[in-house]
This record gives sequence, C-alpha cells and structure tokens, in this order.
Amino acid sequence: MTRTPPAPGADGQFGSVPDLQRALAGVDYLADEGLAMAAFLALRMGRPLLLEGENGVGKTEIALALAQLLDRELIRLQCYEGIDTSQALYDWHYARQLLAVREGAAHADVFTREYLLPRPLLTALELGAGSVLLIDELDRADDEFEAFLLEMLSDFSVTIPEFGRIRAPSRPLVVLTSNRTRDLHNAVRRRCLYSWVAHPDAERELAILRVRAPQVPEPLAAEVAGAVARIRGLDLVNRPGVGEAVDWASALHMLGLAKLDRQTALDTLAALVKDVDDQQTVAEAIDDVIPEPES
Amino acid sequence: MAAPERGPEDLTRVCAEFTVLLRRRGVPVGPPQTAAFLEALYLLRPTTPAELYWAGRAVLATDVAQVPAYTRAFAEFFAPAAGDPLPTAPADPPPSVLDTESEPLARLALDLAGEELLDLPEEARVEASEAERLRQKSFARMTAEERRVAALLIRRLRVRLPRRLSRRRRRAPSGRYLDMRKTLRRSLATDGEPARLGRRRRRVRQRPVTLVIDVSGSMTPYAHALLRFGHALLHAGHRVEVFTVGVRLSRVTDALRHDSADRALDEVGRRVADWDGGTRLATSVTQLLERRRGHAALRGAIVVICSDGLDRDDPRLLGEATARLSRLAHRLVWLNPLKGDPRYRPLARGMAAALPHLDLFLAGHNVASLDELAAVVAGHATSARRV
Repeated sequence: MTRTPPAPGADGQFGSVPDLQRALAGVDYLADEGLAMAAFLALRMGRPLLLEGENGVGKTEIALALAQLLDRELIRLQCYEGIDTSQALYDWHYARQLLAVREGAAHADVFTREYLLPRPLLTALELGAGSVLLIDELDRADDEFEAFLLEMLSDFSVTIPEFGRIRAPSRPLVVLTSNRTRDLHNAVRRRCLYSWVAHPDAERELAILRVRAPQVPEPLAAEVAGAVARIRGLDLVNRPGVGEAVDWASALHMLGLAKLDRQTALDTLAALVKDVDDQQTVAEAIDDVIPEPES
Repeated sequence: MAAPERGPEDLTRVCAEFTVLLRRRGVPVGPPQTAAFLEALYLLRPTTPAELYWAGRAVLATDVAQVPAYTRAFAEFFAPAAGDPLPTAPADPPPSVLDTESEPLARLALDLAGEELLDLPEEARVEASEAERLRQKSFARMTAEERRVAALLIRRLRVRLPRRLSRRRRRAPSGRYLDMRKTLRRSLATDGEPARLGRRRRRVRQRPVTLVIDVSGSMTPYAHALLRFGHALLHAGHRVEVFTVGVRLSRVTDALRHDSADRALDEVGRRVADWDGGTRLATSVTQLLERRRGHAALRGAIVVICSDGLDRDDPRLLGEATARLSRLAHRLVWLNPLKGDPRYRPLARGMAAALPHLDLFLAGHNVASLDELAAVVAGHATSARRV
C-alpha cells in the first residue's frame, strides 16, 4: 500500500463505497453497507465519524482497520470519567518550566512549544492526515469533556490559552465510539457522520468467522453463526459480541468438534455468554438455539 | 430516483425539501447538515436508492432513535420514483426511550383543568394547621381545591439528593492533589520558587433520580402528584428523568421542562397515550432496562417506581426486572399508595415478587409521605454504601 498524504476532504484512494468495502475486507474487516457508506463519506468529506452500538459489535476495530488500510498512525484516546485537557490534549512540562525560570531566565518565555507535552489529541492534530484518531467510548467521559471536543471536531484546531491556536495541517480521520450509556450532546452529533453498528446477521457472522478463525472448518462455523444469531434473539441482559462468537468457535474447534451438539454447546457457553442469568436463559432455550440434527 | 438526475439547482432544492420534510417528521436537521448532504450527493452521484438512503442516513440521522422517522420520511419522499425496495432498519432495537410515536390523545386535560395555579401567588400562605392536615391527606381523597394547595406544598418540598465523588478534579483552596498549572503561574512571580502551591480536589456530583410513574386508572391522582414532584425536582436543578408506564413506557422528562407545572402536566397528558389504561408494569420496566441499560439514568441512580403493583404481566417477570434494576441502581425505591392504609399487606403477586429487591418501600400517597421519601433518600447521602 502506498502512502498518499491526502489533502483535506479529498482522500482520492477509494472511488466508491464498494471499493472501500472491498479494501476493508482486504484487512479482515467486513463492513456492512451503512457503515461503509459512513466511513467513505467521513474520509472524503473530512468529517469525524461517530459510531454507536452495543458492546462487541466492532466499533473500535473499524478504526484499527482504517488505520491499517490507509497506512496511517492510529492514535487512541480511551475516555473515562474526569478525563481533562492535561490527559487528552496537552500538558506543560512544569518541572522544566520551573527550572528554566529559576535558572535566572526570569523574562524567558516558558510557554513555548518546547515546554508543551502533546497528549493524544494534540499528537493527532499535529500529524494531520497522517493519523487516524480514535476517541473510544466517549460516553464514559463527562459533558465537560464533550464540550471541549467541539472546537476540535469542527475546525480541527485547539486553543491553548498561554500559547495560541494550533491547527491541523490537514484533517486527521477522527472516529468516535459510544456505547450509549449516556446521551451525547446534539452539538457533537451534528458535527459528525453517524452510523449505528448492529450485530452482524448469521451470513456476515459466518464470513467474519471464516476470516478471524480460519482454522475452524466451514460447516462448524456456519452452525456457530446460526446458533449465535438465535442466541442474540433471546431476551438476554448482555448479547454476545463478534469477539465472543469467534472465541466460542475456536473453543469448539479446539475440543475437536466437527458438528455442534447441545451438550458441548452448553459446556462451552463460558466462552460466549458471560452473565449467569443469560446462561440460564440460553440453557432453557437450547432446543431452539441448536435445532435437532436431521437424521 | 428522481433527485440526482435533475440539474444542480434542482438537486439543491430536493435536498432542502427533503430536510424540511425530515424536520417535520421529527428528525432535527440543521442547515450545515443539509449542506453536508448536498456535498455527499455531489461526491457520490448515487445510482441506487440504497446508496441515497445510506448516504442520507449517515449525514442526517445522527441518532439511532431517529432512524425509523428518517426511513419513513425517505420512503415518503423518494419512494414514488424508486424501484428497488428500501434497506431495512437496523436489526437491533433502537435503544432510546424517546417515544415519538405516542399518539396525541386529547381526552385528558387531566382533572387539573379547573386547577389554574397561575393566578395563585407562589407564596400563597397556607396556614400551618391546615397545611399539616393536607400533608396527611391522601391525594385520592382531595378536592380540586385541596389539590391545588397540595401542589404548592409539593413544590416547596426540599430534597437533598445523595452525592458521590466524581473523578474530575477541580481547583480548590485546599485538597489532596497539586494543581501544577497554578503552582507554576504563582512561582513565576517568585523567580521560580514555588512558594505557594495550587490545589485540586475531586468534585462532588449529585446522583441522578429516575421516576417511573404508573399512570393506569387506579393510580391517576397519585400519578399527578408524582409528576408534580418530578417537575419540582427538575426545576430545583436536580438531575432527573421521568418515565410513565402504562401499557407501555414513555419518557416525559422533556414535557416536564415547562416552567408552569400545570402546562407541563398538560403536555405530559398529550404525549402519553395510555393514560388511565391498564398496566403492563413488568413489560415496561423491562423495556426501560433494555433501552437504558448502563445509562446514567439507571446505573448508580436513585430509581423510584410508583405503582400499586396491580400488574397484568406475569409476576415472575416483575420480580426479575426489579432484581436487575436493583443491581444497577444506587437505591431502588417503591412507592405504593395502597400502603397508606395501615391494613395493607403486599399480597398482589407482582408486588410480592418485587419486594425482596427494594431498598425502600414507602406509600407516597400524600405530601408527608413524599417528604419522607426526600428525607430517607437524602439520609443515605452520608453512607458510602454501594458507591
């Protein structure tokens, strides 16, 4: 893959949505049409991409896949309650500043770039289009942090009071994810392109299993994909994600299974369903989840 | 697919008209988004309805809760020209509780019609003994006039909610964390000698309250009082979410934002279609859990269910739902107006199933009882249990 530092808003690499979809498949990410469209527009229009969906549907992975595909540096910011500018954006190198002032340089300016410690957001801004910035689980941060992201999301610049405004030389691709544990502010939504990432259907799940767990033979993978789709249809507290389906298929394969049977399925449920009430629910419905083998 | 095959001015007009329709159908689209949509169309030159649909969805419907409305508006606007079937909505249920489909039901202007609070001065003097009598009187047995005064009493209830330490640190005169930024600033004046240290401490955040109010027929007078209670909390600046349950769940927090409690209640009446119907409490609570699981409105919050526990659903379901709720919430409180009668025993099967999972079981049938709720909830403020 050749690295083409693209001008803002014109990535030029992918002519159409199916092109991008195919290219993503080339790096083992199978995106559905809606997600591929949103990612394509985000790249071409230079806008941030906001992804929402349940845990384990592959929101974070798309950022990884895009970074790999575009051969850009992935910069990840995991959000948490109380995250603030000194952890997310920049911090001053206080010790060095203090030393400089004490060394007699009383009128020396200690608020210059050399005393600035970039944190993920500033790093991504300075790299511009050379980076993919992943702001993961934005819903875990608080409203204050969201408000402070607004400037960055709309003009790709930040203002540091003592220093001035830093603008990105070109637009980085920004991917934000949220598990919806809190409603994000509309101002954030409006600056982004949006996609709701759903659990894959059985067909796409099978394709994903073939890619992520290639050692599992196709017939078993197909049975797993079908069973997982039916399990997601049950009334569960936590529906299993793609990663869990991959783990489960691998576990079954490791046990030397060629065909899914009810007893083994129940015995290996630990890899798939991670809530005791849910395991109970699945056990009760096992006859529907794994249909009677045709004799 | 009429749109992109016309000239550019036409395309702009189609974009504008489509976004107008979207706004009318409840999808809040701003002008920058309209412009972005146009940009996307120029970029893509969509050739299939599906492409057009997904492009519009990525740009214009920026919340999964808006997707059904977007899809309908899209079908309405483009379908006459489109040949192919439209893509279906996402497989997962949209997780917002915002119920935009509630059909306006004009039949209830509540029995508040006669209770115009507005011309009564806010500081209306209620004589002490009279106030005490009213505080003890059940909402169900109040006359219209008494209710009006009770509404004032509710408005004056002082509620202090439990608080917890946030992880966010803010500047403070003292505290256990250093504020390096401030320290540096100060030491510039002393040639780099950090003579005075800046401090930070963890901020204190109030826990949110979520009211889940049963609006079935038997609960009407209490539901009104509780909605007023919710209104009072909301306007005292607390973090509050209010849901009504009947045949289904509706979120009414936004309806309650109106300054006047009467207007707010009218608005709730318009939005909630199943007022005075039966209750499917377990179904509604389960819905709440599914759509707001992990949401700040439930996790670590004070959840107050107000219902007489007479449920049409399987009592086992209610037991399970309350168990899950109590694991998520900081405190789970149940207000059952029937408990106001000393002879009451929680024998209704749903109620009995829920009982073991409650932190507090109160009556909530009169002002005094709501006051008690406020006091008991705040009483836990100091205890660090279940942070």
